Formats: sequence, C-alpha cells, structure tokens
Amino acid sequence: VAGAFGSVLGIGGGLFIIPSLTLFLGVKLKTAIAASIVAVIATSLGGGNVYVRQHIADIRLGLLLALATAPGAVVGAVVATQISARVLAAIFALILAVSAYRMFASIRSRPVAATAPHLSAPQLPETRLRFRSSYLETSTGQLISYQVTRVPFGVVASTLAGVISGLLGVGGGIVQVPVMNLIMKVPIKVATTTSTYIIGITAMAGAFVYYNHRPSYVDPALAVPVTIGVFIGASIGSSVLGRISQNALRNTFTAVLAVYTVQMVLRVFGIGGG
Amino acid sequence: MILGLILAAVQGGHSASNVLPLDAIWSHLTGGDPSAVLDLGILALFATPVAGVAVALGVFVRERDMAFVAITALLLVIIAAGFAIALR
Repeated sequence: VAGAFGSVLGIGGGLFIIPSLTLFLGVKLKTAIAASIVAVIATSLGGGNVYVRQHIADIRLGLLLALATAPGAVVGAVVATQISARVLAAIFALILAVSAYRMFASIRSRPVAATAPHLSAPQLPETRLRFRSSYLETSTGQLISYQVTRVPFGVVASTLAGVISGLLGVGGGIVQVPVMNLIMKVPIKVATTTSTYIIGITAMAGAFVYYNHRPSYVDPALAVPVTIGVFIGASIGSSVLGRISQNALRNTFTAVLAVYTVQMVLRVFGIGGG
Repeated sequence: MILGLILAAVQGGHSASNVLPLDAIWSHLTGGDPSAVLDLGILALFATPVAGVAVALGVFVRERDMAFVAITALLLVIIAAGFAIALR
C-alpha cells in the first residue's frame, strides 16, 4: 500500500514505512530507515520506469538534479549513522511539518498554472540543456507545455532533498516535488514522476552507506519483505497515475503530509516520555 | 533483479539479521549460504539505478548531447565517490 501511494505521489513511501515499522513493529529507527531507503530504490524502479516509458518523467531534468541529490544522500546517511535516534525522529517530524505547511499554502494560493503559455518567456541560458517542455496530460488529452525555470536554485535545493533522503531513509520526494513544482515551475505531474525517477539514484547512494556501516543497518529479513511489498505497490500506483487529475493529486499529497506530521509529532513525544 | 528479489524472499526465512561484509558474500555464496543470496539481491537492487544512468549516458553520447554526456558522466563519478566514502 505504501508503495502505491509513494509512487503516485512521487515520494518513496518511506514516510509510510518508517512510522509503521517503528510504531507498530517496534523496529529501531535506524534499522527502519535502512529498510526504507532500500525499498525506496524499488519504488523508484517500479514507478520510474513506467513514467519514463509514458514520457511523463523528464529524464534530463532528473539526471541533472541527481547530481545534487546523490552526494547529498551520502552526506545525510553518514550523518544519520552518527547521531542519536531521538534527534533523527525530531528532524523527521520537523521536515514533515514544514512540507505539509508548504503544500497547504500552495493550494490556498493558486496552483502553478501549468497550462499558461510561456511563448514570451526569455531565452534563459538553461534552455540550452534541452529539458522537455511539454507532456501529454492523459486525463484530458491535452498537450501541456511548460518551461523549466531557476535551474541553479533548483539544483541547490535538490542537495537538501538528497541530504534528507540519506538522513531519514525517504526518497526525498517530499522536498524534491515542491522544489520542482514551486521553484522550477514544473507541472506537479512531471515533478512527481521525475522525482520518482531521481530518488532511485538518490536512495541508492544513501543506502550503500547504511549497508556498509559496521554493524550494518540493513537487515535483510526486514528490508527484503518491505522492498517486495513496496515494489508491487509502486507498479500498481504508477499505472493508475495517468488516470488521476492534477488537483486530486495535489490534494492527496497535502492530506498525506498532514497525517504524517501528526504521526511523527506523536512519536517524538512518545520518545520524550520513554 | 526481480528474480533476485523473489529468490531472496524464498530464502529469506532462515537469514541472519545482518548483511554479510561485501568481501565475504562470494565465499558464502559458493558455500550455499542462503543469506548470501539475499544480500546479493539487495546489491543487485543497488546496481540497477547505476545501470540506468549508464544507459542514459550511452543515449546522450549517441545523440551527441554533450552537455548531458558531461552531466551523466559526472553523476557516475559522484556515485563512485559515494561508494568509496561508504566503503571507507
């Protein structure tokens, strides 16, 4: 289930997986993070490949941003293996709260007008990088055009997405999607699918750190079942995405973030009490 | 890759609660240790996105898109550097 949601929303599903494992199954936070970050790779492979074939995800944009997210993830993972689980949980809650607020605020203002023509847009230097500039919105049959903006800023912000991914074992989509959607003006659907593509690379970079840590945080007996579940879910989720409207996607994304935030705040208090 | 995961799942029941060190996997594998198969499945999963980037590099080379040849090549270097840091 986490995989299906994660894939649709362009987040790795890690934000579902980690609270579930730690709260309900009593798994240690860092072990849950390691299992999640391994599973996130599978989410990306299950979902990302479908989006690439459907030409929704922008591979060029994805690869460029991965330049920033991959080293970020290594740094994040190295830090995570060094600091206490309690600090990690607090960071987790904070990230969720900020993300939920950002998406909520963006709904109340107008969503980015993906359909607005950008014919008069100046020829920015980054257009030399030949990003895709349109995609076929299958729910309406329209060809939607857009222009990627503020590429340098987007790359820098993606580093943060990478750090969070490595630190918390999530895909980083929770940062990556708003970065692409709000900063780079990429339509939400392209942003989520491209994010799904990127996080495979990001998570792999971070996962390797967890894998090689002595003692390793990757517990195969946990990571493998979680990965398989997520992989199946992601495959289902990505085939459904083409039939969901942009607004429904955005609203769901925000609702999910809000639920997570409450969950993690409860968790931090739980740790504080225990 | 999927096969590796399925195989890993089948074998998963009697695995250790920890992965084997990288250099020990091969000897355990040839010794018929099921947890080595499991670990190999996880490593195969790690390798897949890297392979995807390599394929993308090939495509950009063929398209003579030099900006993205450089970007993708740099990405592979960064990933390799990340591995080096993790293995330290």
